[in-house]
Amino acid sequence: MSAPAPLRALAPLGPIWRPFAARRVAVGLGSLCALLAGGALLGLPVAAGRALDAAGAGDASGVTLWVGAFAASVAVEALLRFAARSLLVGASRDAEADLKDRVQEHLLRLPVRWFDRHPPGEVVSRLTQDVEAMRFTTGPALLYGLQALTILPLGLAVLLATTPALGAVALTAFAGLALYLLRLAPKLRTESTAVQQALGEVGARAGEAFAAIRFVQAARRVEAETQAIAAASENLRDRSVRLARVQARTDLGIHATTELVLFAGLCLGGMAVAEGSASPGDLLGFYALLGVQLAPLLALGFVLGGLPRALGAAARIQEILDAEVSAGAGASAGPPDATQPGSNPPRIEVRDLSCRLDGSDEPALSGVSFTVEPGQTLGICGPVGSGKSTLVDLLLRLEDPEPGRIFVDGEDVLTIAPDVLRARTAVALQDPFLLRDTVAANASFGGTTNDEDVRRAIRDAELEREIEALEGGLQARIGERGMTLSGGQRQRLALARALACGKPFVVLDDPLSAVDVATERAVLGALRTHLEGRTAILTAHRLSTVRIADRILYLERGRLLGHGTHAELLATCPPYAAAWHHQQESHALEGDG
Amino acid sequence: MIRRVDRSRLGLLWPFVRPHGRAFVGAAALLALSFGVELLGPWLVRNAVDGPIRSALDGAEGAGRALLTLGALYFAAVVVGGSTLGYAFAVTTARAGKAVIRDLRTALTRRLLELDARWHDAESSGRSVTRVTADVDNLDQLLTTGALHAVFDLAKLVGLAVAIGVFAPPLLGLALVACGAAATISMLFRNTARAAYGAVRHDLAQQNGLIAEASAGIRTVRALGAERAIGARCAAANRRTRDAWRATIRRYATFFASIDASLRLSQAGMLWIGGLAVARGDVTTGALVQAWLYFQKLIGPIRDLGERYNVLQSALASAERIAEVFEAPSALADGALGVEFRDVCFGYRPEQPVLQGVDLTIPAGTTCAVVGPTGAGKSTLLALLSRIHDVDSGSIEVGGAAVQRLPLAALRRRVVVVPQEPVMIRGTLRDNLVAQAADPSQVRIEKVLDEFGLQDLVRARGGLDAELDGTGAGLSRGERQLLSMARAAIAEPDVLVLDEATASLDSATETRLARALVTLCAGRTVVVVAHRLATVRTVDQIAVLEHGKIVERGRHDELAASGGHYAAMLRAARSSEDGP
Repeated sequence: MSAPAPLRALAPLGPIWRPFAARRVAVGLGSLCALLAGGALLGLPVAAGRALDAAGAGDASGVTLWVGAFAASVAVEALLRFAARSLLVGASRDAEADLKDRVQEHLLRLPVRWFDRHPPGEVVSRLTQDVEAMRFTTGPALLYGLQALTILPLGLAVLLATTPALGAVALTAFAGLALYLLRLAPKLRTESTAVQQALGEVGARAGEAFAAIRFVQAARRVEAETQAIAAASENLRDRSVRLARVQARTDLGIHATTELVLFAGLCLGGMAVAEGSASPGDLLGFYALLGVQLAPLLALGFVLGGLPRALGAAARIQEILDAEVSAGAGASAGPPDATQPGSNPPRIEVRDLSCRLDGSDEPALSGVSFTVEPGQTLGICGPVGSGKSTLVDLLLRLEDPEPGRIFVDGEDVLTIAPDVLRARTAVALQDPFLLRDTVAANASFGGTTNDEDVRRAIRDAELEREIEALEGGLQARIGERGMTLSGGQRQRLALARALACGKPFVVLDDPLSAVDVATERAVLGALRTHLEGRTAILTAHRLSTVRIADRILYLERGRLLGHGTHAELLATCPPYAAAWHHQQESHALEGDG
Repeated sequence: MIRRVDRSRLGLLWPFVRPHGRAFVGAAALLALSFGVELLGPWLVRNAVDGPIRSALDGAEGAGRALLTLGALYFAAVVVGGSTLGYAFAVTTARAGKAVIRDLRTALTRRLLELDARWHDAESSGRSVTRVTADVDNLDQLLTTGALHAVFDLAKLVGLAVAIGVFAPPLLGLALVACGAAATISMLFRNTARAAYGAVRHDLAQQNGLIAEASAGIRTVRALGAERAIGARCAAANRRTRDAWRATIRRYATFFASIDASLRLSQAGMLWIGGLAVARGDVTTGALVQAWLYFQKLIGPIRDLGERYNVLQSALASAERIAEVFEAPSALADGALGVEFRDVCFGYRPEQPVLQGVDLTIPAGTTCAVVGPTGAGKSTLLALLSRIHDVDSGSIEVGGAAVQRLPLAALRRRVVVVPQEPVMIRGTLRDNLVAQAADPSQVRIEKVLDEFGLQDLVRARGGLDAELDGTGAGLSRGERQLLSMARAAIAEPDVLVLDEATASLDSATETRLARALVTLCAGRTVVVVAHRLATVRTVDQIAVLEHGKIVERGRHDELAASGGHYAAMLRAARSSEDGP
């Protein structure tokens, strides 16, 4: 932290300062109160000194009078500071909420690929910690800064007027302290960032190990993982001790300076009193002044120290606000509450479709062509990285294909309004999206309000018994105290949502991957019935899932290696046949049939 | 939101603190010394005011020299000594405290990784990470800043109150009242602020949860065209969070204003009573200045009281969450595991019980042979152990954990079955050999092939990666059995469940199989349904099962001599030249 940066450097804080400044009355009045509170605080040392002198002179009524003045200053200062804090901090919270609204709204319209690069934890941390760091530069900074700005110069002026030598020493000492602290500030920041990073590293390593706990235990890597985390903990300890040293140096500076000034007060002040140029009351006033001045001084340092962090946070927030929104996002006028009556199952045609993901050398899809006739179910399978999910993204227009590649009922998908497409489409994707709401609300979120449809879908997803076992049944709220669903249950609830809405086009992306084989078999029976008369796309890692499809695509590394019925693929597509046999046998060994 | 917690939980820190006991004792000594210095400073000021300064005002000579002596003492003890002690204390506690925290973190992680995977299923990996990071940090706070400081603050309060009482007796009562008032405000605020802040945390968690869910499920949100609906929910959550924040602001503003006002009004009272006493001549000016300075030193600790209490509270809550981990049942320990059947009952149909109260203890690393007539329930017993079926009543424990409570994957990894009829799967020899293992290394596979004398067979079949014809049609029965045992050996089970083949083979193959069996069983807990006399002769324990009950248990020699069921089976076997 060098000299106060020019205002231009603070421009990135605009997104928080504009809504803050818009609360004109609160900000203006609050700032005024903060300034005045600083002035009132200065009454304390003055009154204390005069009271002591009155006491020394044996003037009891003088003591009472000055003590009264002291108490009055205390009361006025308390009221002003209460008002300043309420007004300034309150306005800062309003500004924070405004900024968060803006960021949230923008976020939901960003392309899906943006979220692949920014995991949910990072999004949440930006929205909370970064916005909070920015907020700190508004109300709280004004509250502390303005107080410091009145009390520090005024206090020094009083001191210079009464005991100039002492005033000069105090001024020098505190200026020295300020320089010392400013010099330490970057170090403090670097070290505390390093501690945060080291802690993050511990958390990340532990998180990976916990998420893969079965593998860690099976591969007997408990000790190896523990050692890795122990090494990260050792690094964290090392960084923490360094940070503690810098903090101790900060405290050392503050303590030594304060005591040094008190020492100067004792010698210089004592001399002045002994010579008769000052009174014992002046000495007490000096001590009392230090008592009230130290806190604002440190607060000012706190405000300045928070600025670089706030600027970094502002840059990250701006990055979100500047990110380009997805063309297909947020076009619909409201929640998808009604299916288009009488809409027919679409015919889907894909012609020579290729796609390359950012930063990847190999194409995710190359030259894939197929057609799904109205009412048909198409299964898509293939190993990890085969391009299944990319294909689903393109079919759902979460990504835009090149023109002339994907056609719905003969029309290029790029020319159809996204919300028209979405009103016809039901989905259940890999990561089941559930709301913290009731089971019923989650099942009907896809666009139905009919209770009977919801019940039937829950039954067909083989969830009925498990839901009945929950307290509140369909009205049980997910994600609250003790109401957690297993991965398989979440998937089946997401599937039930897709089944309940009755839309003519259904896309199911590996909807049963976390479900055991026996349950899968039961669900598939019902699913087949459900999909009759609808066009459906069903991807799966497990081949027993796609077997219910009319036709199956087999993809590997973005290429279409086989296309046909299950029996045709067994005969004509060796990788499909090999995968099929392998899966059959491993199921047999699992004892699941 | 207020939770009662057991204070003794903090005891979990003790084993980690103990190795650094000296450092902490040293830190406490530094703290005590620096407290002495803090008391010394105002006492020197008082002596200056009442001594040289007063005598100079009265016209005496040599006041300057006396003042400088006191000043020099102040500089040496308070400025240099006090600062050095403070720094040394901070560095000492940080070094020892952070080492304690590192050890705790490592032990906690190891413990978490050893826990049953089901425990991890029940809570998100995020919560486990929180335990390792935030919860341990709360204890760090307590250890490096909270605990010693809190004790010290209390000592300081008492010490300074005593000092005021000694040096300016009329002010003691006031100082006590002031402390009491400020402490009361501080604690009252703690309660209301915590309730308000609890509401903020709840609303913020809801909002963040919503954002996290929407980010993770953005594809579904987009595909459903639900951005507006989700956006409306986010905006509503944002408003709730803002309102919760606003509710805390007035409380905080009231607290900060009132705690400072109460302390300063106490100062006013001290000034008033003390000033009047000085005016009357009961107290010296220096004593009043000294009391004032002591009082100024009290302000910090009193203001921090609520904060310290909060640190203690969160540390207690965190200690509770950490203790939960240390107390949770662990997953299976490494190495051989004991097996215990307790009053196990089972039937394929309710009206036809197969097992009727089987009790059997198989210590870790020992072999137990189960023998008995056909239909006695021997194979069923094995099927229950590997959870092909679940018991109707009673329990089966492996390594002290009930099998139903262990994740199936973990159980099947540790408990490996070698079936009576070897199963070959379609694929290569390698596919067959690794079918039961997690991820065996090539070295491991080669080692087992050597031990089982299978290298020749592998070579003759064109190597590990040559396809078998069909499901191993070209392999002899003996070869299949050897491969089946090698497959189990590669999986490195801790409990081996063997259903011995009944069909007899040529004696050379029998010898090879018997040798392979010895290799396979070495160091493992083995439960074998035995059909060969050679097998049961050497086992640690034979359990005779008849009509779903264990009717006899013991070593071969004991049972053969006892004249019971086993002896009868032996006689029958000898007469038919068949295994028991």
